[in-house]
Amino acid sequence: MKKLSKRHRKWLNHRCRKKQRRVVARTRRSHGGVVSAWLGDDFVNVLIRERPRQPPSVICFRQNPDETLKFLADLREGIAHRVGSVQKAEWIKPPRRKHGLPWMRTYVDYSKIEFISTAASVVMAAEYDRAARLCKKPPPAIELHRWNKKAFQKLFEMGFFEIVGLVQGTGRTISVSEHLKTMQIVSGTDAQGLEEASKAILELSQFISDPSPLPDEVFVALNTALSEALSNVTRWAYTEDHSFRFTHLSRWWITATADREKRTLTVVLYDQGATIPATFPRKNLHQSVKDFILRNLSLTPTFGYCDDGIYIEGATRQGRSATDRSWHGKGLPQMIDLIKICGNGSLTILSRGGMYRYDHAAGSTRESRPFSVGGTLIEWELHLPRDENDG
Amino acid sequence: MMGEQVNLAIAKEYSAYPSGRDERDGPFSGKRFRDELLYPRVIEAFNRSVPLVVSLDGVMSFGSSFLEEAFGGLIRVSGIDKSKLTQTLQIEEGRPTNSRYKAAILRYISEAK
Repeated sequence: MKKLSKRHRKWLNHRCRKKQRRVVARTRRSHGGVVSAWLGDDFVNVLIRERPRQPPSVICFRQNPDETLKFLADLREGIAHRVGSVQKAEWIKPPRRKHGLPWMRTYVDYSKIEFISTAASVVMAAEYDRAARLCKKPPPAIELHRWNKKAFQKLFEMGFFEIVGLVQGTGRTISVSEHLKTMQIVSGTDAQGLEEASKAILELSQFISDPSPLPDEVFVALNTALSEALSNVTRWAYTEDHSFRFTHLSRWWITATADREKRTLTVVLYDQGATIPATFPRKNLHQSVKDFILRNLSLTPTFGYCDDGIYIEGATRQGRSATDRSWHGKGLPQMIDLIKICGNGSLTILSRGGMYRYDHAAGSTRESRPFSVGGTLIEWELHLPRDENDG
Repeated sequence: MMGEQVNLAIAKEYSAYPSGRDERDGPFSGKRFRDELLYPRVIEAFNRSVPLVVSLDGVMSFGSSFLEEAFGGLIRVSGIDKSKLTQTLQIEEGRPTNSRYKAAILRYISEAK
């Protein structure tokens, strides 16, 4: 074989290295490569080893329920996996080589989100709140500059970045943009947050029109419904006799949005507790509720949570609660009363895989899905009357 | 006039946002209200043989847990005589829209056992 000249050998080596670099670059492109991560105080470049996970472009329980629930369930699983190990609890690992980059296995590519609803934002914030508290470090925000402007703005206004610990609390509770005014997410463990939430909601209603279009009677009914919902969370959601699959924080999260164009006031409360279908027992129920459940249960269940909607509707029918003590359990009916008093609007309850909606015009509907919302989410949407001079 | 009745204004003397059943639910629970304010006033009204006037004026939330624990609990837990209580207790609505909550209080008392 002909001996290579020094110059030829050098050229071959160079070409080989160039080819290697191209392979690495191609691999990085397909797997994620180097991304920018916001850690709360600074941006750092991070090497991503696997392809980023893609969330659905629309995250909304009404518009895209199946994909939204699946995405949130996957997020919950991923966080639980991380929380289980000290090593995995580190969001960003130190470089493997001297002068190398810190690295992450993968991340969720939030730049793909085009729309996120208020209710879904609360669930997502609660998941990251749990992750930040249990890992004792806020999760980094990856490629923040590429996030969809509207989705970013929504999360920012709701105080998502404060909740997860990436931004210091600014003390503001209300944000305004165009025709929307948003109350930042308030989180707590007992009913002490009621007054703060109530005052912020009143301010939101004044944004729709001043003086507030929220009649006194409706405002008191809203506080009452919220008070009962908070009380239900503290008493039943994190009950000790339930075996929780995911570590919980015994907390609730509330937010609210006023839409001046649609003249709607939306209030959302979420907890990561044991859920209505799991705790609403199959015994000690009022006979009429028992009959309702037995009449509607699936004969051949097609998926895991296929009867959850029925249990939630049963719970709303029960003037009594999960206990057989007759003085308990007026809470869910009071939550529905708010819609009846308002005269226009809806109450939606998502609990585990079930969804129940009471709409003042359309009545009650229910459905069930194979993925859990990871707790119980209650959403009141009140349609407020137009001013007389609005035309 | 003051000597002819015992007064209790929930919003002024306790909280405009009472909520929940007991201390697990927060600082302004029905149990605490009953133990610290309502029960002593009921006893005072009984001793003086005057009406107890409970004012709902200014109260911004009337959760059933709070109302039941406070008023129903007088019968269930504190052992107050139901008929004597209904004769002594007067609920001042404060605003007309509070009539539904006044009705709820009277219902919780009548259903308590």
